[in-house]
Amino acid sequence: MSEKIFEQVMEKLERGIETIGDLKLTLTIGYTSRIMKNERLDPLKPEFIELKKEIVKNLDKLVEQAIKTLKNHFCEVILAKTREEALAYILQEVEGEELVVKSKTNTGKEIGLVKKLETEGIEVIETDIGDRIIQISKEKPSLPIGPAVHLDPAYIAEIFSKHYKVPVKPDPAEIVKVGREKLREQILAANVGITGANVVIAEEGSIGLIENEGNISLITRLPPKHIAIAGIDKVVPTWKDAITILRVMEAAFDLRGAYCSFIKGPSGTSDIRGLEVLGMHGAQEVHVVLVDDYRTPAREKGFEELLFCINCGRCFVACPVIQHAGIEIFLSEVSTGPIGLVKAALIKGINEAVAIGLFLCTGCNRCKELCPANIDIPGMIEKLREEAIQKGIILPEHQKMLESIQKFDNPFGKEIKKGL
Amino acid sequence: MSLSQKILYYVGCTTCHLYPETGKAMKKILDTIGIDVEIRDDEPCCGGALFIMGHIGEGIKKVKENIEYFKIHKIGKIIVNCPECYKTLKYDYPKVEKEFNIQVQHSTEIIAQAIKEGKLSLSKEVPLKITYHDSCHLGRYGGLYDEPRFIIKSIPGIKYKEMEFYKEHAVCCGGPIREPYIELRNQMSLTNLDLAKRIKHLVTACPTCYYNLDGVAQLFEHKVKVIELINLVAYSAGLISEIPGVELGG
Repeated sequence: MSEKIFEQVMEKLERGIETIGDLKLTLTIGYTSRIMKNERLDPLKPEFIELKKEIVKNLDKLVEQAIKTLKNHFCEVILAKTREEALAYILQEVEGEELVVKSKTNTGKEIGLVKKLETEGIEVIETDIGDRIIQISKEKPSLPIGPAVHLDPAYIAEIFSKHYKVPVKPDPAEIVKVGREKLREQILAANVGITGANVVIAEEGSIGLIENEGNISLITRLPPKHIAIAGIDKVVPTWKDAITILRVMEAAFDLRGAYCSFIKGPSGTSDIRGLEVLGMHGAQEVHVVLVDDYRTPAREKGFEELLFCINCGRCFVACPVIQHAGIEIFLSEVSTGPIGLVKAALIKGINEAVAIGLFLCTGCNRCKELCPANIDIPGMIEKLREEAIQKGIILPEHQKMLESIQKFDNPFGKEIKKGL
Repeated sequence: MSLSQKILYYVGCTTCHLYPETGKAMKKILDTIGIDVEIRDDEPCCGGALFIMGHIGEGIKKVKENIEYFKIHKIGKIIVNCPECYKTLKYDYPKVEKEFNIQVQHSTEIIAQAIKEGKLSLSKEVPLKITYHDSCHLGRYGGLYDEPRFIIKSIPGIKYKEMEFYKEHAVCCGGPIREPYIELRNQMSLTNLDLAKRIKHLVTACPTCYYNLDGVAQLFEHKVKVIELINLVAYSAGLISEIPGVELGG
């Protein structure tokens, strides 16, 4: 069985190398130069790493506290042990709806939210322009925070034009204008907006979201119901800690997060006789779905550093395997990039990890070096390889090298002269 | 290290098998500096490749055997020129056996220190434009970025220039395992060669990087020449008469 998986990996690799073309230069030089030569991140790293360690150490207590404080602020909160529990809750909350608008949510992607809602006959509209382009074109996503950056504007204009049945010029501003107009109509028509959450502040009972498009601001305000999905690792102790994380998120890609929303429950007013009415300009209901799923098992497995990940995508940009063999390497339905490979192994199983390229990693450590939290991704990949081998999934070439070291005490497959 | 203990020059499988001349040049450098080393013809494999492939259990077994080997042969210090051996011996061995306390030094540390102390004089000119490729194991894993640069810049005549990505940001050459993904290795090495195109001479302090970069340069008839740092040093110190792969002319 493992032979077949390895055949698929080899095909994926060969196809990737052959078709990568101009994208290679963009990935190897373009993005890498931009994010590597940014000096905002380094000074923030030590405090961020300390904070993440503290959070993971006290996670259970923090989650408990967050649930309590959010509930005090009229949020409906659920702690979903599994992705199935999370999906069941969300499905119940969108029952009867035909349309849902959403922003980027990595946890939503991880639990298979869009697919699930669509199989239930609900139309799901991505409101982040990059995600919307991917949704309409059905292309494979690239960068986690800019999933369509690898696509040609002329091509995007063409698919927008076809989809929306209006002429679209191959100009970024024109594409964005059409996207904005169409997305606004849908945001206004929807009764439910689904977002992620970059931080959940335990002490304050608040969730925080950073963005530069403004779609999150709109879909958390305009539809009457807002559902926020977050991994339990997004819980932070205090306001100050939330700011630390949001600053790291901005700095990680040298971005300007134009908007930052802190949401402490539904909108409301007590202007009429001091009587509290929920839902004024913003949402009337706020639901927070905290997802555990792979996170507690990861902690038990010695992979607790996975919970340091803020999905910045720097490991994706750093990875020379992706740079040379394309965006399909390490890409699964649930995640992408080197850290995504590790997550996929935990969420979908070791076979999936092998299929998306577990054995392609050269162990170069560039991802760890560029990660804001210095997550030891190569170390985790070694452990996952061990798990695969224990299940009998082994490359014949690696088997040969192992036997050579055992038999000849060198990796060359024969007796060699040692010494000089 | 006690008086009865010895310094082992641990040559490493790749240098022993593919580049014995580099090993010999290193030995000459050590002799010049005045470091008395033992070289053993039953030198074991460090086991680094086992960990990378995911054979962690086998790797741990190998480490324990080797620690015993070093004990039996009274090794008090190890000098390596292979960065993979360096990373494995220096950082993985103490993870397996906490009490493993043999000092491990890379050739670039030894050479840089000898230059600073005046024990090695690099006087022969090398009139070349040169850049340096950071090995992943030496750089990102081992933190040795400055030593090789210091050495290169100590050689008279060299015009040194950094590549587009260097130190922490250096691009992997394709790594030590390669098989079965040779084409991926080719592409990764090609990127490095292309990044060095204007500088023309790419120095590495890693036999695996040398194998990948030089092999790919020849395969694709790339105009960049790949140079092993030890050979560059040995030449400038007057210990060898030419630098393999380079025609200095005149």
